[in-house]
Amino acid sequence: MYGDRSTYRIRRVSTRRWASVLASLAGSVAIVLSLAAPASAATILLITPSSVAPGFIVTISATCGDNANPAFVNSDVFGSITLVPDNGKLHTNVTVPSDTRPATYSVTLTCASGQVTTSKLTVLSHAPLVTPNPNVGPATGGGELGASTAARLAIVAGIVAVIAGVVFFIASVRRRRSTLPY
Amino acid sequence: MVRRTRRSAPIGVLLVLAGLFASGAGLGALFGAPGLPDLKFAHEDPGGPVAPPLDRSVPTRISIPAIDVDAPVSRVGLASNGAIAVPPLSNNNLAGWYSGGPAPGQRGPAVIVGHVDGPNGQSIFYHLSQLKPGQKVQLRLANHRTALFNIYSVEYYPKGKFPGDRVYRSDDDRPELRLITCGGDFLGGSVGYADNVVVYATMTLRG
Repeated sequence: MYGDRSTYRIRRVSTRRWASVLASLAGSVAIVLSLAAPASAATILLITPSSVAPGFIVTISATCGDNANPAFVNSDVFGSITLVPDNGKLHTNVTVPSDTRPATYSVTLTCASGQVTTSKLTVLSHAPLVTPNPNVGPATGGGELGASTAARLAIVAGIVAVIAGVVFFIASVRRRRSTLPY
Repeated sequence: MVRRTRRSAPIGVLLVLAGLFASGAGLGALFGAPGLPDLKFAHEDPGGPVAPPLDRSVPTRISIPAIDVDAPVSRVGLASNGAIAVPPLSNNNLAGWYSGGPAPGQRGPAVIVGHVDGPNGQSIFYHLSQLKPGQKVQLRLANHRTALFNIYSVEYYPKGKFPGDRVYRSDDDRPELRLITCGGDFLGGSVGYADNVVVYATMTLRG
């Protein structure tokens, strides 16, 4: 009797175990499949920064599957750009022209596969205004032509030297006269 | 006795010559130095009708006929001490517009800096201190528009007494212009020139 029950239990346990094993297997397969499938269809467009002032640079990063082929990015901001695979990456830097009208623009990525995605780029009216240090003025000069204390000293020293020189000279003339015999 | 008198004369002559040379060099440096404006011309903002503000556009060229300035304008940011940075000293015909502030024609004062001298001698704003109220400054913008300004004051201040509030703001937020360079004695070191010369101008409707 006991032997029968235990066999029955064992069988139930092993059925459950098999069921859980099968379930986890199925789950793993599902996960692997779900990872594999979008990888070939992933189309991502990333623009940083997403808000920029005219005249400044943005970085465009794109994903078109495994990035094996060139892709195209279009926008009213910078026209049409071709991204060429670079070590498995699609990216480039673009300068937003200084005269771009402030607005939010659409940017479209078209992969070689035909997949398309869009992102947004906001062009600000200007870079954030910053008031300069109100206590110090700019250093606008090399000093090559500047008057300096050295110049003033030279003038003073020069005048002193001239006076001393004249005194010396007068003194020498006087002495000469005094040594004359008559 | 005789030896003494013979030595005194040449020494005297040498002293005079040396003295003349030193004085001459000193005077040359003083007179060749950029001048400081007469502070009698420190005027308040004249007020009057405001020219309608322009769209923000980067200035490309500055023209000041009274002192023969006609030069390109580059962009400058801030120096490490928070003051406006300056264009390269080696270029004596280049002004710098502070891009962290209004563009010429926008509300508030657009600030343009320029060197007074450099390794090549006189620089773009060497004669700035000679400007007088009533004279004009013209800025050409990247969008091909032109902003014309009428000078109302020319002032100078020691570097440490820079009146930031007066320079970086305008009454009623009027579209105005500030031209800044250096002047006074050259102290060298981290100060450079002792003073800043600032020209104040307001945007005008008529030429």
